[in-house]
Amino acid sequence: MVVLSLLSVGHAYLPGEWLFQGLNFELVQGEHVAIQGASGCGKSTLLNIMAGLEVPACGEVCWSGQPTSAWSAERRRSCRQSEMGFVFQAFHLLPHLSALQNVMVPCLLGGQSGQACAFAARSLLCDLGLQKRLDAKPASLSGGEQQRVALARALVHHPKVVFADEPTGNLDTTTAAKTLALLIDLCSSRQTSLVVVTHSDDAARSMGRTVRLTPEGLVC
Amino acid sequence: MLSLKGHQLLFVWLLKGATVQARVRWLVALTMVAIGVMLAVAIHTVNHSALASFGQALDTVNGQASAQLVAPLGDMDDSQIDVWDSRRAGLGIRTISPVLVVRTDRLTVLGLDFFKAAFVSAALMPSAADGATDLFNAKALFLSAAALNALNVRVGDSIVLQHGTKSVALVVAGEVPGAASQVIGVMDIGSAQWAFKRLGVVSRLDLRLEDGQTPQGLRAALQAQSETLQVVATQDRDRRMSLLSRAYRVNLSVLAMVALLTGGFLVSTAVNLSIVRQRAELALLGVLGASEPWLRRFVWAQGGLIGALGGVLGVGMGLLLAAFLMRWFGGDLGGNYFASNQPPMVIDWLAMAVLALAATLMGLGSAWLPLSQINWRQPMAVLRSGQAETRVFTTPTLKWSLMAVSLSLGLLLLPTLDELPWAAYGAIAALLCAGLLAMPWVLAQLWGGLSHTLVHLRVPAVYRLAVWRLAQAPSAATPLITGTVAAFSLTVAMMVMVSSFRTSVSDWLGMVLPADLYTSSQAMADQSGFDAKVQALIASVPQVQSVETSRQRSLRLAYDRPEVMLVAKPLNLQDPMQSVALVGLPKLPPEEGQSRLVVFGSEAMADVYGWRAGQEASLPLTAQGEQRVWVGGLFRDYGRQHGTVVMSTPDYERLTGDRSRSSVSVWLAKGADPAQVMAQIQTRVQAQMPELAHLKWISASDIRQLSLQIFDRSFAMTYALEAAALFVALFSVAAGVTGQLILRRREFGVLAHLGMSEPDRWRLVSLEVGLLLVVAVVWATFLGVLMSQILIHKVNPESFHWTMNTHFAAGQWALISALLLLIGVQTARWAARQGLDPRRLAESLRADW
Repeated sequence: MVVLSLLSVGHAYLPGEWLFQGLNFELVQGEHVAIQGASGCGKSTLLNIMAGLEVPACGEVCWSGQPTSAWSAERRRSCRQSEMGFVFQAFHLLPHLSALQNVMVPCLLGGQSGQACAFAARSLLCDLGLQKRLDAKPASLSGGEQQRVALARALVHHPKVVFADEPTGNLDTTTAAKTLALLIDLCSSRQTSLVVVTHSDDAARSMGRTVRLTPEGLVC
Repeated sequence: MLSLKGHQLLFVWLLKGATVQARVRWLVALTMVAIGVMLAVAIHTVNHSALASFGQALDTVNGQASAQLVAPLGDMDDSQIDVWDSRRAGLGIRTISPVLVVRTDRLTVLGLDFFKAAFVSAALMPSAADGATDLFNAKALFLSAAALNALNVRVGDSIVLQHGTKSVALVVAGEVPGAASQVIGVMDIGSAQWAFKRLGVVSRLDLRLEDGQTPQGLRAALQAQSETLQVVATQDRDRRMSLLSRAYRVNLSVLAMVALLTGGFLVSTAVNLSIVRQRAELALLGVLGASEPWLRRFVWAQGGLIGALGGVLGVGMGLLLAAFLMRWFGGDLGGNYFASNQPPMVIDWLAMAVLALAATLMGLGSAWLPLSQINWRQPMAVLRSGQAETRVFTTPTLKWSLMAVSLSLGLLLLPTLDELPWAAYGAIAALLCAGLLAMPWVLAQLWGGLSHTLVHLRVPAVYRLAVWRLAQAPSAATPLITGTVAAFSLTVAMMVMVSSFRTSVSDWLGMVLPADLYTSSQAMADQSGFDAKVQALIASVPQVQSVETSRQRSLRLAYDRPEVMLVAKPLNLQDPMQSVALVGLPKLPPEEGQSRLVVFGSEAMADVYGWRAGQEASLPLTAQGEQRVWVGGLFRDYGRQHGTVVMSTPDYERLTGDRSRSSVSVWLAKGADPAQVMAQIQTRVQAQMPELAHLKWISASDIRQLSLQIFDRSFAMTYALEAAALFVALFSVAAGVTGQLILRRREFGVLAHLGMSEPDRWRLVSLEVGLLLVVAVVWATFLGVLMSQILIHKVNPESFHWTMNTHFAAGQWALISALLLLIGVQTARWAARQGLDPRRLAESLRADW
């Protein structure tokens, strides 16, 4: 089943200066895709367009087969909240919340009870080996631990797709490999699709499919 | 906690996190709001309590009669009692009770006809210690419990009261149970007339009206008959009493609100800095699916929470301060409108709620600026930029500033509302807003220009970096100095107004005190006493060149307004400027109308009663009715805000038949020593007229000094409020600098790695803050001088009915400016030392948050 599709999508921040155009792409349920490309080619912008955080200058983005161009901001937000997860290079954990509370945030925003959110977050963090760091604040966690908390936050509410923008960019090679493996394992076990923007060829190789973004489109 | 819904729980967590993260800044902001509310609450409570106590006192003295008949000049002939008694039935009056009011040096004595008073004003009825016969004893005086206490006497004691030049010995024969809390005495009206030498005189007629008759109905009936006596109802007395001090009270309350407003700017700075720090968090929550309204509510909640907590804390602190002020200073805050007794505290809970609500609204309002800076539609862009400044104020604030200037000008054209200059206060507020809104534009222009100029100059790197930073991030600088500009501009405005006022009062005193010695006006106000014998006695003292006497009496022109002062004195109509401090040239009647009665009115007469120089007006000076008079000119009178009329002594005597005098001015021979002559007068008076021995004599220079002391005391509260506003503003600089340094640690970390020394980093911060404060001081001075002109030419004439000439106290301004700069820069230096230690800077380059 196709979760996400792009039809002739193009984007430009200034009139006539296209970052990319005529872009076609399909993401199947449970599929893992790596996006690569030169710096400044628009990889992060593409990820934002896929996640509905930016609207393309032309073309159509379909979510579960439905065109999203006519969606209201509220509909986009609601879809993002319930069906997508995000992982960032800089982790972006809320500094004054504990690891457990950070992971609970997507469930809480979805309106689940505090108890249910705490149960889901705690079990996921324990699966990631952070059972002794539940109450730790981000500042006291190592980079690898912080990114594991971020992974848990991206997956705790069972999204359809996780978008990850350079998720291992701030980690050393060994930790990066372990973290990426964890992310792939978690997504695989939950049948969650994964889209990762990365510069790392090793990371790209561990994904099911790799596409390269060029001004003319996506090249497999 | 877990019983909350998910998003509510998250809301609480985030709010708690934001509070803990910036706890010092929040605490400072909360304290500053509380200080603003505290001042407003304290001033309102003291004024409210004093007014309530004053009103109660007035009700007691008036015996709570449903209406009174009073004569414009105060006293009336007691034959009026029979006249009005015969008219009773036709006017719907059931009982008429005559009252003689005698103001003595120690208390007010009411002379009553007890048979009538029992029906009209029962609260004033005494209870005699030795039975009813004592009520009519010629020496019997009945005192309220408060009077017994204040005078430290008991029933049966003898007491001597001074009335004008007369000493009267009486015996305390009992109490007045219905007036326990007020310092008053009651005696039989006939005995009072005899004892105080007021035979044939009554002060007013208290009335008990028939069922169905109202004071308004009675007033209409009397007006139809062109009656000169005025009907005064309880509500008229309340309004009259309120008008006495209202302008002063409103003025103080507005000043207290300034302190509150300045506290608001600090909340704005604190919330702004918190939100800038939280911008990335908010964007992250937006990416994760938090709705825009939910995020907005989170930001509003932060401002609202500081405002609400500050408001509640401020109300508590304000009531404590009010209790302290009333305990130590009584109910008078410097305006000299209320006696310096200690009124019981009366809390106006509605006003307390309004002030707490105002603080909450101000807190909510402070969230507006940071909210407007967040681009909710592109959370990823905000997330990437983190805490960096992404938006610069440009033209919109300038456009709003120009609109505020237009509003201010428009408001200046509006008249007073309910006799208060609300529009002028509004114009000041609009002008202040205009000045603050123009600041980002002014700063951008200034720093942009300076940064271009520095390109061609060889200056130390620290200077160049400071100017670059200011030029690149004007929206970060604006909240830092907004509070300072607001507080300092208002301080300058008040400073210019007060210095103009003081200079004008000083000049005025020089004009109105031409003689060398005066009797103390306190002792003789509104009382007659000096006769020709006294004048001759004083004139016979060696080195006394001439003696001039005058008569001062209260004159009631409207039933619901405070009385004006009628002054009868020798006037030189050939050159009136020598007799009164005229504003503009005199306008005497034309040749053919020289027989007209010429009077001069104070500026209040023009504002309140519409008098114009060179036009006719009318005064109720005779029992027959209104007397047409020619207004020969208007003069300044800083001593009496409710109006003064000056007329020549011969005209006064001819119209009223009153030949008594209430004050004496003495001119001395050249080279005479005033102190020596004063001593000689007192010795001679002591020997020949011992009943006048208590009179106080005072030299013109002492009156001048005393008047200026009273002036300074009346503005002491103003200075205190301005100091509080400046203190709050300086805190806003400290809090702002500290907050921004936390945000800029990474920037300073990079500079440290690039080789900038620690002292240079402190110097950079001091320089940035110093440059900003210089601009703040200059801009605030410009705004303050403009606002002072509104105060001088609109607020003062409309509130107090007097004008003044502008005087800028340059020395005072320079001192306050220098202090502000010094303290501001030192504060910034201190904040830099705290926030920029090398260990933290090194950490900041590693940390993501």
